[in-house]
Amino acid sequence: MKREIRILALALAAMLILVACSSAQDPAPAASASSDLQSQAPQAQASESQALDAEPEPFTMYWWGGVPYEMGPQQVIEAYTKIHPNITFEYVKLGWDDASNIKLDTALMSGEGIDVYMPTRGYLEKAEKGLAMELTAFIERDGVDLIADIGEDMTTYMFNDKYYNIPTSRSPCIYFINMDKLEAAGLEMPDSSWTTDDLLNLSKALSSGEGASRSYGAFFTYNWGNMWLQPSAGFLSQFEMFSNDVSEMILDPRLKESAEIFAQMQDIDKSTPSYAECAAENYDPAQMILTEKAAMVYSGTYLLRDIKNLEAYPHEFKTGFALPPLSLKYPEKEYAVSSLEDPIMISPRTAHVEESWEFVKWFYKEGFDGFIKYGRVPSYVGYTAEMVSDLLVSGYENILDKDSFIEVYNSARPLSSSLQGVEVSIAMTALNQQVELAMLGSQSIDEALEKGLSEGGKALKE
Amino acid sequence: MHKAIKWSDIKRQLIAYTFILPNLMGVILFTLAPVAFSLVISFSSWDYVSPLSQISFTGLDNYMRMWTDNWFLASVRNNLIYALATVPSAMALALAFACIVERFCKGKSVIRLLLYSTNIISTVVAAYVWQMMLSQKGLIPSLLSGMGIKGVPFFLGDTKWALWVLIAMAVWTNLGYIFVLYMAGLQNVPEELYDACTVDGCGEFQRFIHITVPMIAPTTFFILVTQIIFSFRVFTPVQLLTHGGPGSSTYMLAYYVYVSAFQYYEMGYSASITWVLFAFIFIFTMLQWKMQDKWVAS
Repeated sequence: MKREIRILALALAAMLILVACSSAQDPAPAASASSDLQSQAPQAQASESQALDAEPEPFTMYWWGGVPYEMGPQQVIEAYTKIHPNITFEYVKLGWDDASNIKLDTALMSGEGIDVYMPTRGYLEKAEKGLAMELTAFIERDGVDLIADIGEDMTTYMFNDKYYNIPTSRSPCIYFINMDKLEAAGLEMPDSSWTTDDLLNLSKALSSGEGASRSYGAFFTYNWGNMWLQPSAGFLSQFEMFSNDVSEMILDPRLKESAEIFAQMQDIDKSTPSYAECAAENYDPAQMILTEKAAMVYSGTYLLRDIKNLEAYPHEFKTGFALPPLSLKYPEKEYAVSSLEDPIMISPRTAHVEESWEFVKWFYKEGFDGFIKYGRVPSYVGYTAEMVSDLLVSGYENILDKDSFIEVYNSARPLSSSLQGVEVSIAMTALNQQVELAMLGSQSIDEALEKGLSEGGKALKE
Repeated sequence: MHKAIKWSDIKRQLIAYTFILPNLMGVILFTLAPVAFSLVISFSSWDYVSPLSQISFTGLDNYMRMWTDNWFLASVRNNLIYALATVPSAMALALAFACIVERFCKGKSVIRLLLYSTNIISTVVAAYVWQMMLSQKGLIPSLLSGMGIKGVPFFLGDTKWALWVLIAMAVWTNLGYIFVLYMAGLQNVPEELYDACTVDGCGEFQRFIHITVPMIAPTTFFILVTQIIFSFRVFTPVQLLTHGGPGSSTYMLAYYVYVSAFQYYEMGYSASITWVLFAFIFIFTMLQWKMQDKWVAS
């Protein structure tokens, strides 16, 4: 018996030694990626001119992304393969859940079957962990100016002042408004100067019914976890909730203002479903506006995909658009919520570095049309409001209001973006949970903000 | 005096080990090695996407940190309530059903099948069925409103009720499995003991206390140990129905392990929580082993 135990122990020890040895042999991908880049960039110049002369070799490019294939990627691939017939694409659809993110990370670590990808979360973490190729050398070599092409907030997608991705779309968060309900109530479409007082009045006027049959004036996206914060989107930026070095959270009076507006809508006017109801019913924005359970919905422009999907959501009402309302208490604060989204990145272990870069460059500047048709707004400033609205609205003029879309797209308001990073995510979760308890009646808003900011600050320091 | 080692003995053992080697390698590779690795990283800081060379040893930091982590403490509290409420309730109900069915009912196999069906359906399906039953227009609020109860809460959206919904769902799911085990246990109780008890003038209750309970004690012990272990591993209903909310009222240890590892990229901290969870289960199981000497019939 003692001998058997010794043999088993030896086998286990051997296994552990193997595990430990593998760590010694593992190259740091970030270092190898950047050294690959430095060795490849000058060679790429030579090989590029050679490539122009030589017949391009056929190969398969693997593209991973969260957008359904037939809602943008298919059109992009068809357009690109017309220009580069030697390339065959394999598109791998990612889900928007943790399991898909793990699958993507695993593929990036192995380097097999992945060239370019559009992660559904954790963009900066990918760069931090060495799972993305650094693009700075390519950008400088080809004279690409991403700040001019996309905007100042492009810097929020940099890591250690280097480029690892190109965000290809903007996700404006706006109000989708059932114009037929407005008209029936004798109300006018809000314009870009509307305020939270207008929001409260409109929501109340558009609410009707009782109990399970109640139809609400407004709905805020529950599964973002921060419904209470959404009424203040037009006058509070997430950047203002944190210190400059993101080491602590700030008790800004606009936080309380936002929570109080939501509490009034939820508890007094009953013009928006409560936290408890949203948790129990698992409401989502598409369901709320397209089943006419809510007259106004605050969400991202990805909602357009569902609005245009008349097979799944048959409806006849026209949807208009409005920017987030401003506040009379803070007239100097004006924001349009427009996060950069859908970053495209290159696998650090791709065998087709130049080809991947050429595709990425083409995609964000010239190839985004297919995505626009299905509700994504391009980040590249070269796309005008008319171009975007034509692609988006064309064929759906009876259910989408072009004029209000152009007004929202052309907004001159400064952009309010979101901070990236795991610590920020944990801090916001801590704050949101405490305010959720306040909305459920377990504590006051003041207590919730105090506890939430304290716990959020603790998370930033860890 | 040492027994002389014969080559034939060695050969026989080697052949035996060769036969079990594939399975043994699998156990070592996929069970023992990961367990050992998780113990190592529980004393370290590591997200799971950096290379292994970037694991940094942090000593007992992870183990110290969790006791000031409100989410961890909420998980422990909720999981203890969940275990202490789910296990006795399911066992008591299952035993009651088993006694009634065994004693009085015809068509035992049909009843057994119906009750066991709650255990064999997918947890995902069960979770969505419960969500539908508890929605505003669902079965349970409609029944309660129909009985004249005003102010029926949003069960899954109420911090006071969400955990009890998970407990109710667990009892509903596990009832059939425990019932089947108890039915088997009851069928092994000799009829003569009941006859002798009846002759001595015992009523139904006394038969139950003095004959049934002691005779099914081994079954009870097995169910208790396994159900407590399962109750500390609850994850799927939390992930599907509540995501730990509202607030942190339904955070559970297994769910928090998942969130720490895969949402917050803190694999080291997550591993330390896993080992603490293991310690809880181990302590509970050891306590039961000690108690079984007293109350489980040999």
